[in-house]
Parts: sequence; structure tokens; C-alpha cells
Amino acid sequence: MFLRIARSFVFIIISVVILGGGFFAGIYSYDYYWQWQNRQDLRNLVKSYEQARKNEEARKMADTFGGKTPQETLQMFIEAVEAGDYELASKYFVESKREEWRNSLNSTAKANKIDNFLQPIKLINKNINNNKDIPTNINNYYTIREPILVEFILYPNGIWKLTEI
Amino acid sequence: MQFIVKNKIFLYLFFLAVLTSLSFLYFFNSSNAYEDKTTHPAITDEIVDFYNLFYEPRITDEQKEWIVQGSKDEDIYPRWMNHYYDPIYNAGWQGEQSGYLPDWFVEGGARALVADKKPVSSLDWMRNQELQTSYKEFGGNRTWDRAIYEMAVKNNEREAYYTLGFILHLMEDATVPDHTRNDSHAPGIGGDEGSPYEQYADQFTRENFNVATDLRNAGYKPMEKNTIDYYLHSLALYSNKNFFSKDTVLDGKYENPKIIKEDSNYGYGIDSFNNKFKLVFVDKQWDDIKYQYVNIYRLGNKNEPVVLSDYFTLLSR
Repeated sequence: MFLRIARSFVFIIISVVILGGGFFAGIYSYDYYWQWQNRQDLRNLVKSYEQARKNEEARKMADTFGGKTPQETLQMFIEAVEAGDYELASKYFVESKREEWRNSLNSTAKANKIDNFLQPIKLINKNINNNKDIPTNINNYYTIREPILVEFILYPNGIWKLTEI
Repeated sequence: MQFIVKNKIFLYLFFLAVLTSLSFLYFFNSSNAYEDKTTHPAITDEIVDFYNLFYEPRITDEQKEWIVQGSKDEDIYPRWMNHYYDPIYNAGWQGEQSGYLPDWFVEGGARALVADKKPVSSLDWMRNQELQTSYKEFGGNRTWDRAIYEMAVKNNEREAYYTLGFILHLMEDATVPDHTRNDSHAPGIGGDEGSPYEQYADQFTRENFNVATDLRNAGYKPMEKNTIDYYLHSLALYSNKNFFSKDTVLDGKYENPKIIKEDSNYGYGIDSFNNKFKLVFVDKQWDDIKYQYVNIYRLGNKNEPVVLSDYFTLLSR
């Protein structure tokens, strides 16, 4: 009788230990899996962003629309606008501004205001071509403020792109 | 046990004291989200120097190096996602103003890849041990609470000071308008060319940025606040309400700052401490609705640093 009770007691204890152990092992495993999953997601995130950076860098390297100096790029832009090729003109801008400028130039052309738009830009072009002291590569930016704002940025392939007019 | 408790309180106060010198440096100098190799170490170095001018025991050179290293390492990728805190909307990074990619794409993409965990604000990040623990391979748990624990319970000075450096990095970022006005500025992603303010600040290094003694001589003292959270919140409020970031100039989302005066070259602002400064450049840009050139406002870049220089002078001190 005593042995039966003792056996039952031991059985219960073992069962509790196994069940409890299993329960806590489950919790631990879930927590471990959750942490592993988080780490895995973070690793993927790092890879994705690195890939995005590389892709953008590759697009910049392949972008040949522009000149080796800000002056050259501005001249190309003026010529494209004068030729009515607004698709080409917009390509002298950085990628993030292209669509905006294609629409803007088309809209300006429809309103017969292209001459008003180009007038101060031509003035700038004339002045910078006459000024030999204008630097062409300082910290990858070049900004003209008078009479209007014209801003350039240097791409890694050595091409100057427009960022603002 | 009693020793530990006393020690813990002492250390808590000690760390708060370090932060008071930090907050001072930020309110009265100029800073923002900075380059991890140059600007962060430079500002952290000055924070420690400023602390040492007012408090005992002084932080040793060795301890300072641990702190500076921590301030560099908080930028371990991808911890930066949690370095934004907009005190007006109590928000972390939401992918806004990130070039030509839509906001929902940037933020959503990040969230999907982090097990449904949205990036949190730096205010949350600074204390969120659970989230930081999941960044095990990227610096791990470097919360304020971890710093206190390492010092008070484990008596591990090196880890404590190193972790304090991570906290100082968050404080430093809270003085950068891009970080407090939700202006994403990761160059190379989505066509964003980065933050001109941070690019301007890159030039400051531990060798050429020395302001602690000058500030003390000018009568400035550390600002003391009760909680670590309040330090971060105060700094974020200052940079949010008094300065623009590149893509949030006169953004309707924010009521402040305001241009109080304008001439043909600059728009001027006035900060919470009555400092007047150049807030924006005034330039002319084509308007394809009016079909004429109209005034626009912008911050400039590191080639024309007049406005950014005024920002740095106020934000980094």
C-alpha cells in the first residue's frame, strides 16, 4: 500500500516536472524563436538597405545626362528647352526631380511662358561662361543665387546634375 | 545590499549630472544628427569636458574614451531608425521626406522587415530594453537602464560609460532638426541627398571643436533636470520649434519656427532664448502655377554655410 502511494507520488512529481519542464521549455523556445526571428529580420533589413544604396549608386553611375562642369550642364539644359525637348531637359535634373520638371516644363510651354522661364537662366549662363574663377567642384555642390537660384550636385561619375531652378 | 542601493542612487545622480552638462552644451552651442566618425565624438568630448569643469569626481581620460566610443557605436546600422523623435506629434521615424519614394513605402518596408515592429522614437528607444535586446548583433541593449545597471549592480565601469555614450548620441541627435521634424535624410536612398546640416557639421572633430572652457568662462552652467526623458524631450523641442530641416521649411505640419524678418538675402528667426539668427536663405525659383519667379526659402548647403553656421552655433552648445 505504502509502495503504491509512494509510486503514485513519484509518478505525479515526475509528471509535474515533465509537464512544467515542457511548459517552460516551450516558453523559452518561443522567446528564443522570437528573438532569432527579430535578428533575422534585422539582418534582412540591413541587406535590403545596402542593396538599395548600391542600386541607387549604380543608377547614378549610369546617368550620363549632363556635363563635366555646371556650366556645361546648364548649357545642355537651355538647348533642350529651346528645342522643345522637355523630356531631355528634365533628364539633366537629379532623378528625384525629373518627373516634377518634365511636368513643369510642359505646363510652362502650354502657357507660352518658356521665354520668361529661360531669360534669367540664359543670363546666368552668359555670366558664368565669362567668369573663369568660378569653381567647379567644391564639396560636390555648386550654387548660383543671382538673379535666380540654380543649384547643381556632382554625381560620382563626374557628371553635374541640376537639383533646383 | 544597502551599499548597492546607495551606489545606485549615486550613480544615477552622477549620470544625470553628466547629462546636465550635455543639455547645456546643446542649448547654447550648435549640434544635430552628426557624423559618427567626427561630429558625434567631437560633441561628446566637449560634453565630458564641460562636465569636468563643474563636477567631482572628474571623468578620467580613459572613461572619456569609453563614452566617446559608445557615442560612435550608436550609429551601428540599423539602430539609426530609432534616432528620431518628433516632440510635437510624439512620433519616431515615419519615413517622411525621404526623396521620391512614398513615405508609406519607406516606413512600411522597414516595419515589414523588423517583425512588425515599427521604428520607435529615440525617447522610447533610450529605455526600451526589450527592443534593444533584439538588436543583439547590432550593438544590443544600450539603454539608460543598462548603463545604470552596469555601474550600480555589476560595478562594470567600462560597460557603464560605454553605454552612456550611446545615450549621449541620442541626446546629440535630438538637437538635429531633421531628427525632430521627421525629415528622413539617408543619402543614397530614394534620391534623398541627405541633411545639409549634418553635412556641414561633419567638419567638426575632436581636434577643432573646443567650446567647453569658453562656455564656462562666458558664465554658462549645466542645466539640471529631473529625468533622462526630460533632457531628451527638452532638446528635441528646442530643435523642432526653432529651426527648419531641409525638407520641412515652412511645412504646414509645424507651426514653428517663424520668419520674423526678411530682406533680399535672408529670413531671420529668434529662438527660445532670444537669440536672433539667420533662419533661411531667400532666393527666387520658377513657379509653374504663377509662371513667374517667386521667393523661396531654403537652408543652403555646406558650400554656402551662412545659415547652417548660425544653426550650428545655437544647436551644438
